[in-house]
Amino acid sequence: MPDSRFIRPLRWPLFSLTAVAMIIAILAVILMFEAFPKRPQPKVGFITLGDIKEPGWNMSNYQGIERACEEFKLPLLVRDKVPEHGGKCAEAIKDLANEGCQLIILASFGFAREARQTIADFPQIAFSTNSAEVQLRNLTSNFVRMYEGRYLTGIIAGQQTRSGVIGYVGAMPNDEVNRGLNAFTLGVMRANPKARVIVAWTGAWQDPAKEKENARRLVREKGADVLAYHQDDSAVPDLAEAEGVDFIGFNTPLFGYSEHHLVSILCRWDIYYSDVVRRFLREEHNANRINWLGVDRGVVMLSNYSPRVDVETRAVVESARMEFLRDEVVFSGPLRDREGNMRCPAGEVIADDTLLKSMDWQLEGVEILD
Amino acid sequence: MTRLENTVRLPRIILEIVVLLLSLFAIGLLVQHRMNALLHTSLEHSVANSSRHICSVVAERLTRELAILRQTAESLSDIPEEADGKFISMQRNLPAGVTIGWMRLDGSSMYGEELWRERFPNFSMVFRGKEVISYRAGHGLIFAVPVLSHGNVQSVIWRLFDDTVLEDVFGLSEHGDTFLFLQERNSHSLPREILTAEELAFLDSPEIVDGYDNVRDQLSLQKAAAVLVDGVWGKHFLFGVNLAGSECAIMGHLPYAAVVGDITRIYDLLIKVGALVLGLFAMVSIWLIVMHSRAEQHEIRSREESLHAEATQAKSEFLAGVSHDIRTPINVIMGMNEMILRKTSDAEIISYAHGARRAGESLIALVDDVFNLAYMESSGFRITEKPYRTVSFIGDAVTMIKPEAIHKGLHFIVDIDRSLPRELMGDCLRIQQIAVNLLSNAVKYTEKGHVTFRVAYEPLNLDHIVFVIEVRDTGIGIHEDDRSKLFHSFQRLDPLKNRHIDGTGLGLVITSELVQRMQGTIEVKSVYGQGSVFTVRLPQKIVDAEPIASKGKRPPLFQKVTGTLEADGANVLVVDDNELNLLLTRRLLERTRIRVDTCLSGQEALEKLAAKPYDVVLLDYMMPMMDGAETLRRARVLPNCRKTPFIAFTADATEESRKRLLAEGFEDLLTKPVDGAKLEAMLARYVSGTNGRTQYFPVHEPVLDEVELDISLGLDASAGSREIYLELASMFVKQKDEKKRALENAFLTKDWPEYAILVHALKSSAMSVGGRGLARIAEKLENATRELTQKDLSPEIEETSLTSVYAHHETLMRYCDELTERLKDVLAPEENGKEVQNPE
Repeated sequence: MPDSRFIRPLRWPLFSLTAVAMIIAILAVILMFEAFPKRPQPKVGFITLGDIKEPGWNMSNYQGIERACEEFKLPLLVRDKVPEHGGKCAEAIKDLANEGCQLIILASFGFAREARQTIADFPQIAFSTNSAEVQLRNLTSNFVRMYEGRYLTGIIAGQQTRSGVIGYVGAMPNDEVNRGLNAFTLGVMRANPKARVIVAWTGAWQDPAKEKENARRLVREKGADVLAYHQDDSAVPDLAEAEGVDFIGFNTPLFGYSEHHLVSILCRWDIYYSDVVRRFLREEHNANRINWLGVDRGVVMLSNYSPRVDVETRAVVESARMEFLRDEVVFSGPLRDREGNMRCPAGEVIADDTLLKSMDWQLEGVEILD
Repeated sequence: MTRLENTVRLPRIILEIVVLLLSLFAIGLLVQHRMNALLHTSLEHSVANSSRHICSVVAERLTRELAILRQTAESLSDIPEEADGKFISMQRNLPAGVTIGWMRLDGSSMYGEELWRERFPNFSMVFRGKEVISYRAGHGLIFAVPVLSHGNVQSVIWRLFDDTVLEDVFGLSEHGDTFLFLQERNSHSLPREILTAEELAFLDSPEIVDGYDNVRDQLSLQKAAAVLVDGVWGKHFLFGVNLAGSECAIMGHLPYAAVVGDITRIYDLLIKVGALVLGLFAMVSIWLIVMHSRAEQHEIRSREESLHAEATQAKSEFLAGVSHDIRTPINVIMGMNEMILRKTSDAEIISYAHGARRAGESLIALVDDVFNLAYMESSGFRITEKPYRTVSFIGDAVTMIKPEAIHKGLHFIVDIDRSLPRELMGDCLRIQQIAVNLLSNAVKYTEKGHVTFRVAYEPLNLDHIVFVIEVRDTGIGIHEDDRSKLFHSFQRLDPLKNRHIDGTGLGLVITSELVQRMQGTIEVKSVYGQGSVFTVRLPQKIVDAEPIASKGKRPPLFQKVTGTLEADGANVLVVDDNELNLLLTRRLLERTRIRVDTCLSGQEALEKLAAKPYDVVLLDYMMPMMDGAETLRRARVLPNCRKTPFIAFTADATEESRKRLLAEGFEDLLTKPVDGAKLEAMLARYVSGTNGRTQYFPVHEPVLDEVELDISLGLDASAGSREIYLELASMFVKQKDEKKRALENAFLTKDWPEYAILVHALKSSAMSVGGRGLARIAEKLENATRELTQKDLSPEIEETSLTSVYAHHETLMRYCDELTERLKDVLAPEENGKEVQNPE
C-alpha cells in the first residue's frame, strides 16, 4: 500500500476539480438543452453550366446568389462547370442534397428537364430554375421580365436612330427571343413609329463570327445605325464599335466602349435571388409554380446612359418605367403578328403564361434579314 | 485522530455541506428558469405549428372560393353569349356582405360594383393572368380571376367579402379561445369597424402591438411565428402565419392557459419531485461525506494502532529478552551473596552482604518491572484466578514494604478491615503486585510522615465483593497537570525534584494495566506537596466469607513444612553452562549431604548420566549447543535414565513456560534465582531417605505495624525450633517491664554508658524474637549513646547524637510495648495448647 501521506494532499484538489468539472457539465447541459432538436440551418445549393469565375451568365448569377445568401446568412454550396445532357446535374443534385441543401438553384435552362426524376426524388428540397418545361410540386420557375428592359431600350433605339433602321441580332426565333424582340419593337414603335426593326438570326446562343457577320450586314446592307442583340457574348458591341454605330448592351455592364454604347439592360440577380430565397424561407416557394420578376421589383434595370442619349429620351424612358411600376404591361392589345393575325385584341393583354410558352411569332413590322 | 483535527474537520464538513446545498439550490433555480424558458419556447413552437394548421384550413377554404370563381370565369369566357345573363343571376343571389364585379382591364366595370383596384395590394397581378387573393383591412377580402381568351386576359371578375362576413365564411373565429384576424403583410391595420372596444383595447395595448410587431418581423423570413407576451392582460400567445399565394397573413392570439392547460401542473410536479430528489441526493451525499471522513479517520486510527501495536510488540519482546538476560548474572550475584551470608559470622561482612542483597533485590525488582510490563504488553499475559487467602496476601505485601518504610523513618500504618472475607478468588500474585507497587511508590516519594495501607471491601452481592486497596501517603503529591501522565510508560513526574528516587517509572503503569485487566479501577487523589491517595477497587469472588478476624479460626502461626533436608548418599546432577550457578547450587546443597555432580553442557551431562544413575537431575533450560529440552530428550534414551526426574532451571517463571516444560517431560521447574529453601523443598520431593530436624516456618506474618515482628528471624535465632522461639518470646514478654524501667531510668539520669548496655541487650533479645523494628531502633540508640560515651566528644556529634536519642527513646518504649503485645498474640494460641496445623 502506498504511503497515504503522499496521496492525501492530492485528493482535495482532485475532488474540487472533479466537482467544478461536473458543475460546468451540468450548466452546459442545462444551457445547451433545446426542447426541439434544432433544425439544421438550411443550405443553398447552386448548380450552373459554366465557370463562375468567367464573366458572363454564370458569374453574374453566382454573384447574385452569393449576395442573397449573405443577406440571409445562409451557407452556399456551388457546383459549377456542370455540363448538360451527361447526367452530371443529377449527380450534383444528389451531392448537394447529401450536404444538407434545402434549396437548390438550377441555373441552366436544360437542367430541370434532364434531372426531372432526381428532383422528384427529393420532395423535401425546394428547386428553382429558369425554364418552365418541367412541372413538379417542388420546382418553381423563376423568370425575369427581361423583355421589359428591352421595351425600354427599344424606346432609346427609336429615339436615337437617324437612319430609321435598327438592327437586332438574335440567336433563334424561340419564345424568349421573340418576347424580347417584340417588346423591343414595341418600344421602338412607341418612340419612332416610322422606324424599322430588322432581325438577323444566328441560330446559336454563342457564335461570335456569325453574330459579327449578321451585325455587319445589318449595318452595311440595311443601313442600321443602332444595333441591339440577344446573344450570350459581346461580339455585336465589338463590331458596332468597329463600325462606329450605336448599340445597346445586354445583361452585363460593358466597360471600355465609346459613347456608341447607349445603355445596357441589366438584370439584378441579387434582387432576383433574394426574392427566391425569401420565398423559400417563408415556405412560399412552391406556392406559385411560375414566378415573374421585372422592372417593378427592380430586378430589371438599365445601366447609365451614354452622353449621346439626350434628356428627352431619358424622360420618355423614365415615364415608361413608371408605367411598369403602375402595373402597366408591355403586351396589351391590339397586337398583330407579321402575318397580320390579331394576337391580342384591343382591351386585352397577353397573359404571362402565353408570354412564356406561346410567343412563337414576331410582331407586325419586324423585318427578318435573309 | 486528535481532537484538534476533529475540530478543524467539523466546520469544513459543514462548509462543504453548505456549499453543496447552495450549489444544488442554484442549479435548481437555474433548471427551473431554463425549464420555463424551454417550456415557453416549445409552446411558442407548438402554437406556431397549430397556426400552420389553422392556416391550412383557412387556405383550403380560400382555394375553394378561388376555384369557384375560376369556374365562373371559365364559364363566362367559354360561352360569351350567355355570360352577361349568367353573371346577372349570380349577382342576385349574393349573400349579405359579399359583392361581385366584372371589370374591364382599364378598370371600368362591365357589371356589378365599381372597384378601386389600387386598394388591394397585388391586385394588378390579375391583369397579367394571375389569380389573386388580397385583403385590405376595412375593405375586406377580395378574390380576383382573369377571364382569358386565347391566352389573353380579356377581363377580370372578382368577389369581395366584407370584414363582417369573413368570420362566418372562412371560419376565422371557429377556434375556441383563439382570436383570429386577417392582416396585410407589413401592416398594422386592423378591421376596426368589426372589433369590439375590448378587442381593440387589447390589440392597441403597447405590449400586444410590440408582440405582433415581433411576430411580423419573424414572418418576413418564416411561414409561421408565435411569441409569448406577458402584460396587463395576462400571458398570451400571439401568432401569425403567412397565407401563401396572397399578400396577407392570419394573425391571432390565445390565452396562455388555453395552450398550456395542465402541462404547467405536470411541470410543477416535476419541479417539486425534482427538488425532493435533489434534497435526497444532498442528504445522501452529506451522509456519504460524513461516513467517508469517519471511515478515513477510523482507517488512520486503526493503521496507527496497528503500527503502534507492532512497535509495542517488538519493544516488549526486546525488553523481555533483555530482562531475561539481566536476570541470569544477578542470580549469580545474589547466590554468591547468599553464600557469603551463610559462611561468615563477621557482623561487618554480613552487613555489607545485606547491603549487596538489598541492592540486588531492588535491581531484580527493576528488571521484574520491566519484564512484567513487557510481558503484559506482549500477547501472552493472562490473569489466572484461583482461591487465595486474604490475610496472606496482606501479610506478604506488608512484609515486603514495611522494612523500607521503617528504614526511612516513616510511620507505616496498616488498617485492615477485620471483617474481610477470609478467602477470595482472584489472581493473588497480581493483586499483591498492585499493592506492593503502590506501597513502594508511596514509600519512595514520602520523605517524612506516614504511609497508610488500608485494606477494606465493599459488598457487591452475595458472591462478590469489591476489594479496596488504598495507599495514603504524606509525600510530595502529584500536580493536577501530571495526573494524566501518571499511568503512561516511562513517565516520571517532577524529574528534577525526584532525581534521587530510584525506579523505572513503570510501577504505576503496570499497576494500572493490571487493574484494568482485572476489571478494576484505580483512582488518584492528591494535593501537591501534601500527599496522595491511591485507591484500587477490584471485584473479587468470595470463596470463604468468614471474616479474617473471627476467633477460633485464626490461622496457624507456624507451618511444619520441611525439615532441613539431609539425604546421605543421594546423587544429584546439576547441569548449567554458568559455572557460578553450579558453584552456588553446590554450596547451597552442602549441608544436605547430597552428593552433587556438576557439568557445563548437555553433552557432558549425557556422558555422566550414561555412566551412573542419579536420583534427580537439575537441568538448565537455556544452554548453548544443546538446550535443556534436547538434553532431556536424549537422556530419556539412556538405560538408567528412563525414570529419573528432571527439574528445569529457568528464569522464565510464566505459566506458559511451566506448561511447556512439563509437556516436554520435565518433572518440575525451579526459577532462578535459586534459594536454598526452595531448592531443598524441591529436592525433598524426589530424593528418598531424607530425614532431618524439623523446622518451622511461619505460615503468615501478621506484621501489621512498625514493630515488624518477623517470626522467621526469630525462628532462625532459635535454630528453627518452635519451642525455643516460644520460650524466648515468653521470656521477652516477662522481662519487658523490667527492661523498660531500667532504660527509662538510664534515660532520665542521662547515664549514657548504662543506656548503651541496656539498649544493646534489648536489641539482642528483640532480634531473637524477630522484632526487627525494635532491634533497628535499639541499634540506632545504642550507636548514638556509644557516641555520647566517647571521651573527646565534639559538640556537633554530641548534639546530633543527643537529638537522635531524644527522638528515638519514646519510639523505643512504644515499640517495646507493641512487640510485647504482638508476642502475646503469638503466644496466646500456643499457650492454650492448641495444635498448630497447616489446614491444607
